[in-house]
Amino acid sequence: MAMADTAVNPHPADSAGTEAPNGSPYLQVKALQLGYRSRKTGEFIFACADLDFTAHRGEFVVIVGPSGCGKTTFLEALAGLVPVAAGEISLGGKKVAGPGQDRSLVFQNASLFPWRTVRDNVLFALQAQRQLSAESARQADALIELVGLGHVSGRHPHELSGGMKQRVNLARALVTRPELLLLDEPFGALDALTRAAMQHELVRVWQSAGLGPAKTAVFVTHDVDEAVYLADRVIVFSAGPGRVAADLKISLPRPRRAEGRRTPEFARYVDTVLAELLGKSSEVTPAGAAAPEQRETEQAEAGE
Amino acid sequence: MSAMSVGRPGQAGGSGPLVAPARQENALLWWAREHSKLVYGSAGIIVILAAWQITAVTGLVNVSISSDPWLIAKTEGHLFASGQIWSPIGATATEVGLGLGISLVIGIPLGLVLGRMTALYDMAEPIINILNSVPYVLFLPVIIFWFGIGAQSRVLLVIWGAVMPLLINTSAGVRNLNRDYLRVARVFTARRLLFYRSVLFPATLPYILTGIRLAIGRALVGAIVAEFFLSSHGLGYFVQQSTTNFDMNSAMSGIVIVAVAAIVLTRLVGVAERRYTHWAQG
Repeated sequence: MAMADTAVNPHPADSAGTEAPNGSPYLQVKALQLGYRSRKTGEFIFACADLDFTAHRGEFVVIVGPSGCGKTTFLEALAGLVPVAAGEISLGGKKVAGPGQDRSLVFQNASLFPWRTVRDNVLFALQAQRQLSAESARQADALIELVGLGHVSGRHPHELSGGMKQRVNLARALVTRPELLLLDEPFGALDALTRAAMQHELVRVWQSAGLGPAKTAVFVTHDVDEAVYLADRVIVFSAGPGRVAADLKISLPRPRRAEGRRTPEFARYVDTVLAELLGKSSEVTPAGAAAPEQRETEQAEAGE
Repeated sequence: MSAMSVGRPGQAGGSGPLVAPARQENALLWWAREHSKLVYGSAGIIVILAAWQITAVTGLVNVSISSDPWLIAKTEGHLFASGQIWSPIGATATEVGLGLGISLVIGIPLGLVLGRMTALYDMAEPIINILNSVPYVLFLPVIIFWFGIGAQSRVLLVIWGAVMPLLINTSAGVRNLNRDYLRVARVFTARRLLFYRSVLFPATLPYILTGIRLAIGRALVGAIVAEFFLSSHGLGYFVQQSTTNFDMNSAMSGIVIVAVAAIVLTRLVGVAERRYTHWAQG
């Protein structure tokens, strides 16, 4: 029995008290392997290999990495959209096997239903989780107000700007009051000015009391500035296949303000993350034969 | 000077607050420009009708063979006043309405399911394509052989014609479903019924309405052809009988009624498109 245990779980220390209320991480990723089987050659192409990762309740974790490092695939695996090839993802001690009501995803493309109004797009999340009631609809309205869209609540997505669509995307994810909020480069396609405004907005909404207890968030980006501004912790992924190259705690005070970006402390964090990012990727790229193909798949995913 | 600037406010915007230039043309011209397609379309019809009327009145063509617009209008009035046209209209409307209704009820849900199930779709696709490429009125003799010459055979031919474009368009729409919508439904754990009703159906609606447009044409053809062969009522029978009796005015009147019905039904689809799929027009 003991032998079987070690064979199944190479991290016996972590398996002890996953349910323990204090101290034990809420999100645990152990020896995770993600990828897909190539249709041409039949060989398994790794997006992530031997990924170990934990996050505590209420933590805002940002994953940065070069494109093709499997960070989006990893986030999709957390959301339950991508099957786990090997290893394990657990949330509060429960193994993740598919999408769940404890998680929400803020999509890279806003992915709104064009036939629904802003309000009805937000309400869809409640409908899908069978939580739609007069009370929850009122909360949805309050949330739409909170993300600054009260005045366009009855409009359709094609009447909105890119930034507004991403606000709806965010409101739809938050309305179900998820334990874990996943954000997949949500501001990547926005212009610099709108992106800065949206980052500020996200911090504001995140810190607002109306959303109940502090939520855990995993945010994926390739923008180092954005990562440092938002994160309690920055995880640097190395390229092809994705691995954790560095894990940095960002001890900037909250609430964070836009002015904070100009402090030397902020710049130091950015430099550190950049150094990790550049150092690791220049080390890996020549050796990583799978890297270019990986990049293609991520682009293909982004293009969908 | 001040009188001039009052008369032409468009010119007065230089120094004061911004004033929109006055519309220089009259309201009728403006309306015509806004609806230019309607204006030109009507003009085309009027030109043809006028040419027809003139050739008939001047004796260039024989009115007893060709009829003319004025005679058709008079006959139309007579047919409706005497009420003798209501029975053929009712018969054809029943066949088309029943056939189309059943086609919608079968074709749309089946198309949605077929589009979602790849194996089933791959199995059904060649059969559907073969059945669809054979002119469907060719099945009429077979339908008569199986189901007799009653009303059910006429409705069956309508369904046979109308259900194919619905099935093909609906399943094509489902297969073109934006993957993002699917991911949203999955992440928020939407159940199958909600997914079909609130995601798949509205996302596919532009395709479905195109299918309905085609189905209307097919249904009308099916009903009329069926009436030629196995009916003693309906507009198809009416036009055929009138022609046999050399009553060209009545025959043409029947054709006009079918044309109007086709236009009205197609327009209804257009209204539905503007109302429900305005988001798809970019």
